Amino acid sequence: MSELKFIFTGPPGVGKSTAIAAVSEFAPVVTDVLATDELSDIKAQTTAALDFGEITLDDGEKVRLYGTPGQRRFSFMWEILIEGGLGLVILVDNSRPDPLADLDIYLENFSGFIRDTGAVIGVTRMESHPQPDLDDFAAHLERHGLALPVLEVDIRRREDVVQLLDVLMMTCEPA
Amino acid sequence: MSKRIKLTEEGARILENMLGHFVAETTGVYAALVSSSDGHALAQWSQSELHGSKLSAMSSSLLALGESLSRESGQQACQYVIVETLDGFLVDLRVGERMVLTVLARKDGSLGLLLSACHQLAEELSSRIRKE
Amino acid sequence: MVRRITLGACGLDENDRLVLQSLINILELRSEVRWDFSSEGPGEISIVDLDSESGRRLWGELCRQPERVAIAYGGQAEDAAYRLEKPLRSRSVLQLLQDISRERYVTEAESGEGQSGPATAELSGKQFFQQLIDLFESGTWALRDGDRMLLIDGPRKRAWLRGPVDVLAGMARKSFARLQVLPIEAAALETAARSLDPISAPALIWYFARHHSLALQADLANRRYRLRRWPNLRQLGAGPDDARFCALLSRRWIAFTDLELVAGTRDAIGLLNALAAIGLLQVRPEERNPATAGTVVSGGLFSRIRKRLGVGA
Ligand SMILES: Nc1nc2c(ncn2[C@@H]2O[C@H](COP(=O)(O)OP(=O)(O)O)[C@@H](O)[C@H]2O)c(=O)[nH]1
Ligand SMILES: [Mg+2]
Repeated sequence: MSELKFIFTGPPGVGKSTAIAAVSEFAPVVTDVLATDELSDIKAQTTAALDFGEITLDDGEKVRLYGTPGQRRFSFMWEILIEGGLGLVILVDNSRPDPLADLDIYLENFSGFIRDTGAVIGVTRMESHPQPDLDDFAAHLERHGLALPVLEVDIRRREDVVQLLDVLMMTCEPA
Repeated sequence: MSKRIKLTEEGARILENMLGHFVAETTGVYAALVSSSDGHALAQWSQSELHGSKLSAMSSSLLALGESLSRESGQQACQYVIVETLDGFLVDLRVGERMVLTVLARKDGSLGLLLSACHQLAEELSSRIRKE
Repeated sequence: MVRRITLGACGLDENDRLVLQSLINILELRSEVRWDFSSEGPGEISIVDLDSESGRRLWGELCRQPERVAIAYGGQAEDAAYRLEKPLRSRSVLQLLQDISRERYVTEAESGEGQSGPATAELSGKQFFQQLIDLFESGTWALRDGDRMLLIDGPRKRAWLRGPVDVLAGMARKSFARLQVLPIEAAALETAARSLDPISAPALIWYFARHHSLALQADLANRRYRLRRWPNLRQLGAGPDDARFCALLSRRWIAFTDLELVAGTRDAIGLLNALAAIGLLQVRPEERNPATAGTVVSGGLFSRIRKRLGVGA
């Protein structure tokens, strides 16, 4: 049986930690460290190992939420965290220079998991950066032979995170 | 003060020299690395082949986890993360706020001596960098 | 005086005969001609299916009678003056019939005064839906139902609604009984649409399919469905549940009954019709031994997670 676990991934600063904090029952475990590269111009801290939050179901069963570090140099953590997951949320920051190329990093790295399990894509900061739009994302995914859900989200709003998880569960194999 | 860490060639050489001395003078130690807190390799000295950039990222994660674990367990600030293997020890510790020191040692000497040597090196590195 | 023309179907299969029959209802609205339909055998204008034996037999005969027009359809026919491609597209059939009738059967004088009041078309919801899709293929059109109007700009894939927001709903409720389909000059369309906000063709098609899904009853069983591409739900004006239903179709081949279980009959029909009409759906026949049939269970675990998060059912 799968662990009851969802994983949030995406580039640094996209909102993985924020998303988990928005739905977790307790203040999430964070492993943020000081950023020392170009990221530090926009964001003081970055996740070095993982974020961890939890939701308890009525019967006491726990659903665990993990956030990965964003940078590729931490991809060994991606491998560790994705193991046995129920589904993957890929967040994309539309204010970065090439959001579609960002998306490709995670599609490629998690391709096996996406094929076997399920994934959903949340695009953030579209209010200030409308391009590429949702059609561009969908067309891009189609070129990869994928029709994964792509939703515009403001990850700071709990209901947007909940919607991502809800839609994600629909893409997954029945549990 | 800029938050970025960008070592000059000169700075990197100074760090490497310090690491080199440390490796030569400390019983059992065969490699030492300095990385940024967010996992970039900055300097290393090793008697054998090492994948520096990989170890830097992993050390950053491990130390961050160790610090989270200390915090979540209600203990005081994390001093070291120590991994003991059949062959030896891997030690991670902070250098100031923005760097990580990773030391690889065989089981020749005592762990206590190793840790105190690591601690002392971290202090030296930290004050040296502050001066730069 | 109103000219009557018989349209003959020669060797056509059941489905094509029905298409033609429904099309002449629309044709009447646009021309000065009244049409009679002969489902077996020639008329003044005949549509001949050269893929059928009876069609091929009639073909030579018809071509030798200059007062009759034969339109080849299927097969090989170098001697055909008029041809239609398979499958029959309502747009091209309408255009051709209208051209021929103007050319050959209606005099100048007649065409000037032939506006003998609007006739009506009895279209089913499904026919209307197909019509709507076809009208977007080319040309500019006005669909009128009393003072409600739908303006269609085929080439630019957009439309405008005049009247209450639920113009389409109104049109649908009347079973399209008083619906007029009129060609309209591009310039006239511009003028008529000036003060209105355009709707994209996919959004209009989506709206219709999602709101009148029961009018679209279709044979959806024995097939499996899967998204080709994720739809731009916001642009389509889709409802909040559409994302969930589409997600179900995003990674797996889903049977109608599976979707029905999650979405309910009405939404399942509407969604599949809408997605197919805007070209985002892949369809394949059901395998003989559907090993994966019934893959979608209402998900005990997932429904508990949803409950905890406070969403869905
Ligand atoms: N304006 C805006 N800010 C956002 C949006 N999504 C996330 N943020 C902010 O971006 C930052 C993301 O930080 P964090 O969650 O640590 O990112 P992580 O590196 O992916 O864990 C937070 O300060 C959020 O408030 C958005 O859609 N609009
Ligand atoms: Mg983070």
